[in-house]
Amino acid sequence: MKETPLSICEKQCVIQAVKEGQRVDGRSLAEQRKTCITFGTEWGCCQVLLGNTRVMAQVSCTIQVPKSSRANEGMLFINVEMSTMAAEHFEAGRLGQQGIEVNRLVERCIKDSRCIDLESLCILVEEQAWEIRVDIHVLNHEGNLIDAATLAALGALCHFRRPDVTLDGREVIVHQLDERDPVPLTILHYPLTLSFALFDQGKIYALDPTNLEERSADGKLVLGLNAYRELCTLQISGDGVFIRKEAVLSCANVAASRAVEMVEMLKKCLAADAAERIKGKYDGLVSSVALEAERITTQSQATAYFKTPVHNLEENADEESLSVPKTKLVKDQGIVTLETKSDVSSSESDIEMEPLPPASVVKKRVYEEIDIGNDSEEEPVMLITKELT
Amino acid sequence: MSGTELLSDQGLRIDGRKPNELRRIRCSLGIFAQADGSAYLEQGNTKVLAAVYGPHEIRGSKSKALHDKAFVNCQYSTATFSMGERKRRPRGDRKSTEMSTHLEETFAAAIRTELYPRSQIDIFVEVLQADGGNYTTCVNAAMMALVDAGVPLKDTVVSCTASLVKDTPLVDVNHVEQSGGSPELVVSILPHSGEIVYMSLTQRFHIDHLSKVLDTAIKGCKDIGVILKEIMKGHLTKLDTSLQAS
Repeated sequence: MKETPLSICEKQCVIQAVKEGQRVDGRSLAEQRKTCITFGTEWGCCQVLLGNTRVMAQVSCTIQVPKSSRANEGMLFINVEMSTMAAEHFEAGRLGQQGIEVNRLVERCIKDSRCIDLESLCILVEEQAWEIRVDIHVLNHEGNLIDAATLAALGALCHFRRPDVTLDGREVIVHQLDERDPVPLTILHYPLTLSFALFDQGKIYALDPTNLEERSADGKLVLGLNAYRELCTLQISGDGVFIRKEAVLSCANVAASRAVEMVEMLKKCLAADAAERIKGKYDGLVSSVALEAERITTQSQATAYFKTPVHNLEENADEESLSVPKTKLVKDQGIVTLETKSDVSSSESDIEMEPLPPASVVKKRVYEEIDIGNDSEEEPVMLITKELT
Repeated sequence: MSGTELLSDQGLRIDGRKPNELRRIRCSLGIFAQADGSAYLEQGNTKVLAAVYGPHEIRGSKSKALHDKAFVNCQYSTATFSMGERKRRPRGDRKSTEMSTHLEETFAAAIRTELYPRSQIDIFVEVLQADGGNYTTCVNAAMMALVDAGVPLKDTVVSCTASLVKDTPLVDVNHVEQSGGSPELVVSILPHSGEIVYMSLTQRFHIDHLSKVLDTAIKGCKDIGVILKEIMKGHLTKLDTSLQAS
């Protein structure tokens, strides 16, 4: 099935809004959507929610013969699956141009930046080594698949434990999980990607674009960064996008500070998951369903496009000092500086949530379902959410 | 290979170049009779053939036609014998598809596509010998082929790579430098306005170096642009004199 074409008025609306420093879902230009990271009960299962974009990654391992060119290294294989479940124009089993782009960028960010120590995955030189396979499944497509996919892949790799092996002469003994504690992968640094949608010939850029913004933008700038402010990947692509060097540099600086926050958040989520596991009480991905404010259906997606920001007057007064110079900059240089509005984060929750009357009903039902599967009376919410503002 | 060997103490690179020195560029235009435009380009040991067909009617499924501009179709292919290790298939793998997509995007930006609504322009590039900077050489070769075909362009597109070794930016990296673990930044620009059309980076370096490496790549692009323009002029004057003689 072909993707529904975007109408000119929808496109114009998004572009006009961005030119005025606004976005259709009420965020500012340098603001990300709410990010949630949840881990499954299995080792190496991670699900990332970026707004309504939902991506799941599962890591698995097998013992293989290493490549002759790299005889003392294990292998890392990254695979992206985009089924029709995520969006109507995706074809199951066949990656389109978009799928290949996502796959290559995740590969470049994680594999080419050598964040996993592959030498530690070698068991016997030229004979046996671990092959780590990351399967990324896009569950719902609501823009910015690349960021969600890399975060999910990284989360899954950090979470993953492989069975311990010992050598008896030249015989390899693989220990069962109950026999010996599984071993985590050696992770050297944590690379993430941050995407900007470019508008107005690369003069305006919006962080973490939604599907609607992605489709109305001129192009896209994807930056892969780690917590040490090192660039791991960079890509500018799009039909007819022109960008100046200064814009690239300022985007890189914004992204670098965001990457630090994201890595911290991922580490916190990992620590929380580990703590829950020690307690022996974790409910895996179920918690991510429970916390969802509204169920995503095709109808609610259509209405979710346009959300009017409900700014209170008192908050506006606080923001004035920030928002005034920003709009000025648009006029003066044509370049919007991306400012962090740290004090708005508290107000953001009531803008984003906007509880629709049927949503609460849906939420209640979901909770009931969990109780059946979980047989505990209270609702253990181990999900850590943080609003990156 | 460790990074220290890529740049000697005397400041010379592995193939004897200075850090800011380009590889030798050789180019000939109009090498195929059947294509509307064609070019053969050598940057050092990287050799690329490019052919342009069009603008012509949409071939294949008519649904690809764009009502307001021409559809640019590119095919990036690497000859099976182009590398040290024989390649199994010349195109169709993920990397080649990615390259084709980027070529399409770059040339859709550079060609004045609005002049040819509902038509198609085909660009075929073939890497005959791969010695680093394959993508950049393909962009430059395709651009020369477009010029040979007489397709109207907003501006010429030129592409160049840059790397960073021992905090020194290197321009136009070769295969040894590329596979030796140093980062590679690919930049395609429109030389007149200096605007970036495409950019990609593999491997990692600190964000503070970005400006420096980017400057080197842009300088490299502009230098290549000057050389290619000379070649273009030479080709066109030759055409002109041969036309006048006949």
